[in-house]
Amino acid sequence: MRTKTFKQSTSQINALFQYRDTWFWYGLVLLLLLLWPWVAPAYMVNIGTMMLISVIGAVGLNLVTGTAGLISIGHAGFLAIGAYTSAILFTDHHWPLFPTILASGLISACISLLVGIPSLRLKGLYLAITTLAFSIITTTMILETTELTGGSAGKQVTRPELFGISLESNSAVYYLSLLISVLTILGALNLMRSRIGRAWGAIRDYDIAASLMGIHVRGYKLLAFTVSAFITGVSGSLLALHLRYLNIDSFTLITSVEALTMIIVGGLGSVRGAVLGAIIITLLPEISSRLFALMGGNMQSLSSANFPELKGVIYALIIMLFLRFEPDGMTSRWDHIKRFWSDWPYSRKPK
Amino acid sequence: MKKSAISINFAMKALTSALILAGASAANAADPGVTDKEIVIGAVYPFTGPAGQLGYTITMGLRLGAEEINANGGINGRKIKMVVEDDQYVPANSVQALQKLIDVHNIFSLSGISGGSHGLAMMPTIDRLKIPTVNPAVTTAAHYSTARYNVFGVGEDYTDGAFELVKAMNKLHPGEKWASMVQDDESGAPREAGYDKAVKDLGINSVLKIRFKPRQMDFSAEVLRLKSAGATTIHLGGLPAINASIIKEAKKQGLNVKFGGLWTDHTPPMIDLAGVEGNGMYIYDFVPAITDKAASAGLLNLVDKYVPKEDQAKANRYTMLGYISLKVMADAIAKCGKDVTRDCVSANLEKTKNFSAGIGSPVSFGPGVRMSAPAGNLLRIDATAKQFVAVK
Amino acid sequence: MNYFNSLVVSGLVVGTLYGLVAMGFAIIYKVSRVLNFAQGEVMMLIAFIGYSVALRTDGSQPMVILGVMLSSVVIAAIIERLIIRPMLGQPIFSIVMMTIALSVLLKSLISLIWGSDPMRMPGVTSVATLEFMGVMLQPAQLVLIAVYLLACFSIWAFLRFTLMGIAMRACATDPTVTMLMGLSIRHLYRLGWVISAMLAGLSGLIFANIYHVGLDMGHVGIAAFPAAIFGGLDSVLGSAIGGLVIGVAENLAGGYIGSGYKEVASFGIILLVLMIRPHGLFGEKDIERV
Repeated sequence: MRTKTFKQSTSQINALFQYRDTWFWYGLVLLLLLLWPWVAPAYMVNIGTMMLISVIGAVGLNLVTGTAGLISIGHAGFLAIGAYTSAILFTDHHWPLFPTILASGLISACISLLVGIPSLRLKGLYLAITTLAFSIITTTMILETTELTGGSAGKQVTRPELFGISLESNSAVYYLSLLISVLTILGALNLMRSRIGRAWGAIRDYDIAASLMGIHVRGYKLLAFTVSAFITGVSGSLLALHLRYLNIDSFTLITSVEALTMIIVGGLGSVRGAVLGAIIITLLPEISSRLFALMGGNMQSLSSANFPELKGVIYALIIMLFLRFEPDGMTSRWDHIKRFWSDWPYSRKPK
Repeated sequence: MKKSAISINFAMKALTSALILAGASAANAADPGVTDKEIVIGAVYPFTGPAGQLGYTITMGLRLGAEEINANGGINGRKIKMVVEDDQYVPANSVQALQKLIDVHNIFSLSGISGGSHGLAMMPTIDRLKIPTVNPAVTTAAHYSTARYNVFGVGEDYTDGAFELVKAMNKLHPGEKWASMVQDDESGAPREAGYDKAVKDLGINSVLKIRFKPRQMDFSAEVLRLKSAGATTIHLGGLPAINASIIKEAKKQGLNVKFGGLWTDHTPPMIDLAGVEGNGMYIYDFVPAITDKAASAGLLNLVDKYVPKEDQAKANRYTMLGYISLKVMADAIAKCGKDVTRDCVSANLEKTKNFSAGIGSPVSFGPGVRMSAPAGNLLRIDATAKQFVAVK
Repeated sequence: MNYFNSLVVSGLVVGTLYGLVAMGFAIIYKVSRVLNFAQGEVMMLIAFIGYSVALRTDGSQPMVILGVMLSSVVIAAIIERLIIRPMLGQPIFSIVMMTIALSVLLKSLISLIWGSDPMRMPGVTSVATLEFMGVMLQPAQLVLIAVYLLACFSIWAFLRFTLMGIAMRACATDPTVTMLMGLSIRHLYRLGWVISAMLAGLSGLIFANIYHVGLDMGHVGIAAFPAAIFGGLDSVLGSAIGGLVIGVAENLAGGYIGSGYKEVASFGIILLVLMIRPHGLFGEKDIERV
């Protein structure tokens, strides 16, 4: 019976996957993802790219909020910084691809120190509100510095070339996002199973005890903010490439809330949760549109369709139901199901 | 035992991928939007968010045009099918919505590209696929300044519109001290540019220019600034509800000035919002007032015939523009006869000269001319009669 | 100097609105340590209900006020019972996300039922203005100031002198001990939410009278945040005063720097406050026991 809960050495605890077969299954998923632009229409490839960008952002947010326990309602600010930095470097200064993405992440990480350092004294709700304040101030500053960012009119993003291959097509951006999301996921998984990840978990659970054990709480908190901001900045950079046109409306409070929803629905504190949550939330509008179209949607008739507002209601209801009945997210539900079937027929009722 | 389990599962996965492949390629094999029986015309508009009104009212006009043409046999025997997608006024969603129209609904041409920055976000795709586009909701000149082969706009952009507004009001009341209050976003900033141009070209005395944040509601500080600057005429460039708030705040503080706004205020809800304080506000527009029964008879008949009773009151100037632009598009398609291609339609659109849709001024484009820029006139709000009245 | 005075006075008037909403934040936080992100939307919902009542009764003020009061009680009870109470015991983060989701839900519901166009409140026609310390005010704004002062005083007295008020303060300090003392936590939470909803409803009604009813009203909730933080989330009077401070600061920033900097000013202030005195000016320090 496959339980693998009996660990005999540190390397077993630190291993990336518990079972050898897992490598195979994930490899299959990767293969499917690689083949996706060949089999799917352009509009689905776009959804795929959005999904991958959201995955990167969710993994970044999860590191700081899920693993380290520092609630951030203002991550749209980091996204905006990353996106606008890329837009400025690509369009105005014609920087090449990878240096720009790196620069976006680094600048985002540096600016995160501005919110990280004051927040060292704060906990819980007050920290959340500080991040909210930061996000609002960032978007206002972007709006006001018109010469640099285009202000209210927005900014075009020209796609650069990579070793002579143009990035104009949708599939090119898709593959780029796929590459970076795989790197991000691997990086995050490695962070989580290293000393740093364990320190973050300790800080989240009981920071006074953690400092008593010799963990430098302030340093790790700052590290959480900067790493998370870096990853979110990179995600923003890819977003700029994908959308080709940036506008302050893409980086509102609602965006931060969506990101938080992703990690809650997926499951706080685990990379797999962030990925699952990002996929579900990105696909949600599509699925609800299809459902409505099936039920005889009103978009074709002359009368005013209440369809968009209904989508908002459904979205909010799903979040609330998840929070109420599935607070640990889809990952925990998935683990329960796996446990149930692996123990079967001796399984107990899933809690 | 493990190995055979893996190979069975692998076979299942391979089968599924093959099915997906087969399904997808079937989807990709269709023509872009033209069959012997129908033509698919798409549009992207906001139905929620700050510009939510835009979506309903313009779509009403588009559908009225389509219904009228279909009732008369369609375009050379082909019926028009309208498909509209909501982008919630977020540029990221606009790109997605357009892609969906192309991939899922197989549109032939486009009758709406939402707002300014949304249209710009969609432009690379529109350019690449050469989709003929006639936009009834012209806002920014950026879509049309570099004359694209296939993108046309029925109307006038905000900058030119603001210029005409100031010019017209200056002709009526010369020698005023002007001030401008616009929203700091893509709908307000171009209006300020038009205002600046008018100030420069017509030698107008401008005492103050303010830009305010889009969701602001309290304008006591701004009105105080206007008062101390001594303005006597204000150019307003915000959403209707915001303009109404500014007017009320000004009246409250005893600032008795004239107000002027663009066609975005030319909607029935504005009369209600501005209330008794809005009496006498000037509005510049290039379509007649929907309450003007004589000028809008053709459209009003169609509204009566096809629109459900509870929605009829929603028809406004955007409905008119949607109707006019659809007829312009349909005319260009009709001139292609049996062999309808995107290139042919775009070429015909450029040749449009003095095309009359039955209401509003005639539409003309030309080589290098992509905005129809019709002549407009001033209207005034009559708060007692609850109507827009043309100013002679 | 006169310009400065006018800015300050009109800032105080706007600030009373922020103060009322912030008091609502503070009461809920005081009782149950929950930050209700949906406060602005609750205010909007009750204002829209008031609008419908005004439409039916042709703008009669007593009926509208009655309608607002009744609906506040009902809405608060429903929200508290169905949404908040099942979430107690969950990490604070989940409860906050729940209120955020609630705000999205309420906004969509309002848009479904009443449409997305802003509308004028029926029954408001007079634009008679009165002068108050050099600034012209609408009668509705004077009512606002009066309601604000009344609310401040009565809530302070309630929390200080009545049994229920003291019980609510006890609940904030230690719910378990409060239960051991024989008080019903459920009733106290519900009471806290009802009072907060009534404050929200009143402020929404007055807002609608001064400006209009529309979907942008929820923004007052976000703008009133800094007020609550400034005064201290668990201090009701502090939040009320915080509202005044934020209102003045916003107006001064708008008047002297530029309208875009209004929000920056208020959120910048809370960043400063949080760095110097993390629990707000009048809040109580949270002592963590190991």
